Amino acid sequence: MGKKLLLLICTLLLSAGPLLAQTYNEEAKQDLESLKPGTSNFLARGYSHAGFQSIDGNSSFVSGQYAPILMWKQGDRILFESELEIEFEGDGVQFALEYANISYILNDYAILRVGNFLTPFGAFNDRIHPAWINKLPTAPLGMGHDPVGPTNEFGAELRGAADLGNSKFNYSLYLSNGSILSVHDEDSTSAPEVSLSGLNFEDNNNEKAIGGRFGFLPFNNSALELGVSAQYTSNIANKDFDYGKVGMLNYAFDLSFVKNSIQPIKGNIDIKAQWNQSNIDEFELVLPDGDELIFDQKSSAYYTQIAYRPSLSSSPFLSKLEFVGRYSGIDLPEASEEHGDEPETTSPKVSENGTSNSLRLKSLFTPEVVGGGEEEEVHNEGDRTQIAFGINYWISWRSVIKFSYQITDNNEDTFSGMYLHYALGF
Amino acid sequence: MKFSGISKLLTLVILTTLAFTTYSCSTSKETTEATSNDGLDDLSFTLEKSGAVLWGETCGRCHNAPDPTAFSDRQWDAIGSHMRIRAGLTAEETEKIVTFLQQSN
Repeated sequence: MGKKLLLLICTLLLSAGPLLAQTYNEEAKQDLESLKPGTSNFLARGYSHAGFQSIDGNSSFVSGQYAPILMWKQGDRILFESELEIEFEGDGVQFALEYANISYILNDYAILRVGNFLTPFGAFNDRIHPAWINKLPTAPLGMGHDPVGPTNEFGAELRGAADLGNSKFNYSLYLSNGSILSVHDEDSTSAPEVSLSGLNFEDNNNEKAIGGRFGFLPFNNSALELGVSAQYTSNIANKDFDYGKVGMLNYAFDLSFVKNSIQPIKGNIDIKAQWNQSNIDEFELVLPDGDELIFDQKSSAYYTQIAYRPSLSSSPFLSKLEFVGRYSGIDLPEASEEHGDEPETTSPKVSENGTSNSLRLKSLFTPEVVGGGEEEEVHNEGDRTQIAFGINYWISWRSVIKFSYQITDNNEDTFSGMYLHYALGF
Repeated sequence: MKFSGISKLLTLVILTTLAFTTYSCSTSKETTEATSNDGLDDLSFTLEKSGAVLWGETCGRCHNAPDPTAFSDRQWDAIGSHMRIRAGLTAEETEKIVTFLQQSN
């Protein structure tokens, strides 16, 4: 009896420690959970950036872009997602709804998404434009403000991903309202203005855009991704457009190579590249004074970027640095100076009555939808190339100080810009 | 000028890609299918990647791999769905990464 009692006491004493420890761990975990940003299905994430910049001798502090991403997950299959952009612009504050959509997970290989979503056209617009992800304070030419190619769709999309042996692929296929082509030719004394907008939330015609992107990851470490994107619309003009239907074909190629912790170079390598091409069907504008102008818009933009971070360096300071170089360019069709003037540029189109001219889009796609908080340099007219160098200091995985210097060449002059920005993802 | 710029760009991209593709091919066999050679032909196994490995490889395609302690379990669940849609992750990758993050926070 005495031995049994002793055994029972010993057992109780031995089990008390782990039980107390487990209770303590549970309490500690609950305390920790209570300190985290939230424990509901609703989630607010996003990014912000601010800083100082000097462009062509004009220096200024720039601040205040706040881009919250709001998500709500309903059960295992439904996700609502939206992104706002709030920033100072002009004399006030500008609010923009970058996207708002609902996704329904059909199965392991397919997701249906409806609403307003970023166009899966290349990778920069869809994935890389947020300030804390983009490794330089500015967007590549033709990928940020005034991009070449669509940035935003109102439609329905099927997307997904799957393994293919040791490789992987992801895909997107969508139908959308497409873009809007608008011609403002009320004034017969000057050249009409032609603009293209992606904010086609009430379709301006019955022709829908069809497009998609296919990404292929040949290696099982996901280091390399090759993507091809396209979008076609048989008509982007209004139903009652005087000049008939105007079609548009856009396509893009993108490449990403990311390899971390490479021993021989003691760090990470990140290579990105993309090429966008946008072609709008040629059409003639007849002006009130009888002259004809031929509108022919074929434009392209491209960039390649390499970044190296010595993450395996024995120096804690060096391991947080990242060195970035980028070359980008944009090619736009040459424009005449004014209506009726002989163009100074090459290969003007000649209409039936012998009038020669060409026009440039006043605006490519709606700039608000892709800025991502990245300030575009100010000289945004005409063909340009740009080379940019940057040094980043990563304070944490989502918090970075970015310093960069870039030179933009428009074939006549060069302009320089210096940027010191802080970007935060949250 | 334009053609020259594009040519330089493409050349640079092709060369860098070839160089790192070669490197990647030689070092990316984390997943291995192996078959015994002792007569038991039906005895085969696959070494699958863990959520931790996928977390490093997959998140890093666009941004730094996130700190698991930055979000709660429910939030990682929502973020996992968000990233599956946004970045084209497979369902299996997403599940493994989310499980790893939830267990590590």
